[in-house]
Amino acid sequence: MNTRPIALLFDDPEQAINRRERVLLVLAGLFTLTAHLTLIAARHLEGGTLWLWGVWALSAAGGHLSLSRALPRRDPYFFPVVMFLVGWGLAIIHRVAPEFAGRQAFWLIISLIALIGVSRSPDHLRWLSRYRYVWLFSGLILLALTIILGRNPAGDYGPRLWLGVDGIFFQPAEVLKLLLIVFISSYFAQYRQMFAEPIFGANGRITDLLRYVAPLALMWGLSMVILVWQRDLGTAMLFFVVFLAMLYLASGRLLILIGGIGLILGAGVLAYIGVDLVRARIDVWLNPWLDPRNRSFQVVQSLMAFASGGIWGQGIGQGSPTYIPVVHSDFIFAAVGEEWGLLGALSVVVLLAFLALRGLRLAILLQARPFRSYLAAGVGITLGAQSLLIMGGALRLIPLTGVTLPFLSYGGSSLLISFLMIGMILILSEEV
Amino acid sequence: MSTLRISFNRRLTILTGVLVVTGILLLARLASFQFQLDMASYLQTVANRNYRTVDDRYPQRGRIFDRKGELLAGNTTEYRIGISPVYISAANRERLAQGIADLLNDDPERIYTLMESKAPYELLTRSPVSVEVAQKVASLESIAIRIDAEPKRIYPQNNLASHIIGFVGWDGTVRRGYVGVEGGYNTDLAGESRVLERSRIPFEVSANDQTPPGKDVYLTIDRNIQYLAETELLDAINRYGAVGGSIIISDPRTGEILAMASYPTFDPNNYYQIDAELMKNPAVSDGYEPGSVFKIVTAAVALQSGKVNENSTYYEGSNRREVGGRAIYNWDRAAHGSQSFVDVLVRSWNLGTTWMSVDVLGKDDFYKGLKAFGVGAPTGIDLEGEAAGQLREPGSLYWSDSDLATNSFGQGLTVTPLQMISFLNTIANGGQMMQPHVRLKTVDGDKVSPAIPAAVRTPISADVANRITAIMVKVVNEGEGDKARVPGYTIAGKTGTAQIYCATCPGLYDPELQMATFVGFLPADEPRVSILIKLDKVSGFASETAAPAFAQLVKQLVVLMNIPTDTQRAELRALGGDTALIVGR
Repeated sequence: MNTRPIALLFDDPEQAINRRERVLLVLAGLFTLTAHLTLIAARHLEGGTLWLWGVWALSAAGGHLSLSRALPRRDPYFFPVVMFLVGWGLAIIHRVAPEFAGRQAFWLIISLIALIGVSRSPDHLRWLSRYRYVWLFSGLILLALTIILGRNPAGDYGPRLWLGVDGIFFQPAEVLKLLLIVFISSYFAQYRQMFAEPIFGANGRITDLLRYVAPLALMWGLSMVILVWQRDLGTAMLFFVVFLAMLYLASGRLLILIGGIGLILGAGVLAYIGVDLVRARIDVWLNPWLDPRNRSFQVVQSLMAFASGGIWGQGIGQGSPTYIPVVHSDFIFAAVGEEWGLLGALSVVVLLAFLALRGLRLAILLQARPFRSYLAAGVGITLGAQSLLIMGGALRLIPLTGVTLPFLSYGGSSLLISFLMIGMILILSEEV
Repeated sequence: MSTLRISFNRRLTILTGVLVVTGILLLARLASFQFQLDMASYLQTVANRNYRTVDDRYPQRGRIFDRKGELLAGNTTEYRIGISPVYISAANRERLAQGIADLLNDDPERIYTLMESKAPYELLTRSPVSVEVAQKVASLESIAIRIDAEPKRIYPQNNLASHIIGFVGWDGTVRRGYVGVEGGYNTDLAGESRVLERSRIPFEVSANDQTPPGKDVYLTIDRNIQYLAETELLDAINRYGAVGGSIIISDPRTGEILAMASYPTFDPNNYYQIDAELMKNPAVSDGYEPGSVFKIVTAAVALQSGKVNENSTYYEGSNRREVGGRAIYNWDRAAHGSQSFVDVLVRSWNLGTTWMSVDVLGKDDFYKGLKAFGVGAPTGIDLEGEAAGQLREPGSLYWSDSDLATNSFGQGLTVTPLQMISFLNTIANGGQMMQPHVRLKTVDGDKVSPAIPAAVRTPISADVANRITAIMVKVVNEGEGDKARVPGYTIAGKTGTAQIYCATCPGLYDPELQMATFVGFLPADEPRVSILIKLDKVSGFASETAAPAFAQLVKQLVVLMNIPTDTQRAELRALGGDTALIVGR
């Protein structure tokens, strides 16, 4: 078999896909293993903590084998990139918040099982579209439940965005995120022809305007509810931005995009006046140096982490990213900036951009099947927007909105939903 | 259909463009931290301001050693551990409280309560902890934990030489030494503070942190001799029922203090728990009426005047002599007829020294002589808190004619034990009083500054000193200092039993309790070591208490200091050797 011509490899596309994914996974494995080993050396940790990497390696191997069987013609880049980011995130979580690393590994296993589950039943995408109102309303009920029964695993003085019992907490907003993408994709796929008509209809009737305004207003209202009741600025912002992008994609009207941005700014002004959280965030964004020891402590520490990282970074375990409150979740990007420097931060940006843009590319490739196309675009936009929101916040490019950095941050619900989205993307990529 | 296709592509392209442009902004923002110089340096400054703080940096305090380099006072670092409760999530609280409590051996309930506090900072440690504990706490890796280092002075010998060493305490915001060497050499030991950057990250010691340490001070004290002095003092106190006392051992040729023990002692490691009165060094800070040991000064002054010699006599016709309205008696309350100058010291006659001060010297010469010895003036020893003693002089409001008589035998004036041994040393050292001191040398990095022995007073001539020494040898060999004898060594000494004012009978001397002092040096012809033993409030005469205690101390001291016996020295001299070489430094 050694004498087999190389050209034959390319004659078998499925084998080439598996090989490419395998090579990339091995590279990711080497990187993450190095990160874990360096961390153990730098922090004088027990070698036993390598089991974290072991969980990662088993997940990568299991995922690869399972995907090879279930989706032989999938896009070979998504899974390795995701696993690379997850493995890196696991190392960073272990470094900045060791008590959370085990849980993250546990959630990785759960998420991977979910991913495999999704990949094994590609047909599910169809009924996802069919029962869209079920998803929408179950999502809304979850949200309502959270408003009523919500808790915060870190203590009930923080925003109560979680539902949970016995120490296992779940953030319904994450589920809602996925359900909304599915619902919007399905809804817009059905009514996209309607959007092709002029805003005021052929006869210039006000009622024709409603088909644009009604969903827009509904979504804006939903986001404001989340913001005001839940005080979850990140999720509200993300929902509205994703919705806006999807609406533009379906309608093709720049006016919608511009009007939507106007709505965001308007909401911002209103919230600045009415919601103390928003006012604090915007004040801190405009001038963090006014109160660097209290309200802007987190952002200032984050900026200092980036500044002290330099181009090459301080090295894992060598910086002081733990000075940043909740660095393992919202501010994991700052930890990357400090310990892996500009190069590490650029890598994160590029890899996340790759995931988002490759999702959008799928949308183009799948445009003959609108629901699938919108779904791919929705996932891509969500990943991209969520990444930009939190990275921009950590860099003080935009006001801080607390969302997780996909795949890297600690957060079980976030990881699970992100994996489910990637699972859907992989199915879609199989169908191209 | 085809129009929709193109427009859909364009829409996606525009959306992609929005994402990409935002992403590029993000990248530019990231890069700006490293490449836009002003921004980066600005943030660097801010980062420094937060991770590092500029403050007064106090150098490591200089150490204190004995003359052989044994550590008497050193430094260590201790840590205070606190938390910022706001950074502890409720889920973690119990686990973290348990973890910290285990490491601190504290009550988890108490720690947990502190973690629920709303304050920005809560101190967890009841008392500072060691570096090992602090590092274990730091390895809990919670952002809430704050660890502050603080220097601590340690005294590995505990109570040993505590009065000489002193202690380090807080003077408002600054650490400084108090009492003894810590107080007397505070400037040298403390070093120079500087304004320097300090890292806020515990355990991180940057090059900047290293202010040159304070100077090390080596003492003339010998730890072993000090130990001997302290054990012998305690033994004598217990044996003779004294309430306290002092022993000073010094080298009369240089003024070096080899040991200075007082009782009670204290442990400077726990200075904050100790009554301030205890920390005072009685050997330099407390004046007392020395009694008959002071007669050596009176005799030296009389001999120096040239008006009398050893063969001069006086006559005791009565057991009682009245001076300035005050009755003077001998210790045995008897009259002894004709007595010689030598008898006055050997038998310790109060009427004899009264003859010297009143009849031979007169008040002018007597007090001139005492002042030449330095009575009533501090010796200038390099220890904090020295007292001068009290000498009432003619012309002063409090002086009375009777003082001329009582002062001659060491009553009615006070001296410190250190002053008393300095007078003794003047006689031992051929009439020259060497500056008493406890500093052997100061070491500042490579620079060593030794203490140069200096003569500070010459109240008597070498001839007078030698003649007094000869009489003091007789005191030990023939007189009432006989219990101070040590076989093999010729010792010059003098006892002193001083009366003390009575606690229950105001204005009178206590009928039962006395201060017993013995001073002596050896070998008498080539003095190498001088010793003062003072026992407070004993009920026996010095000849029965301080003198035997002296002998017991000297028997061990000669071994410890390797002082050859008279025979050994004679043999060496016969061989043409220079005994000063062994006896000398």
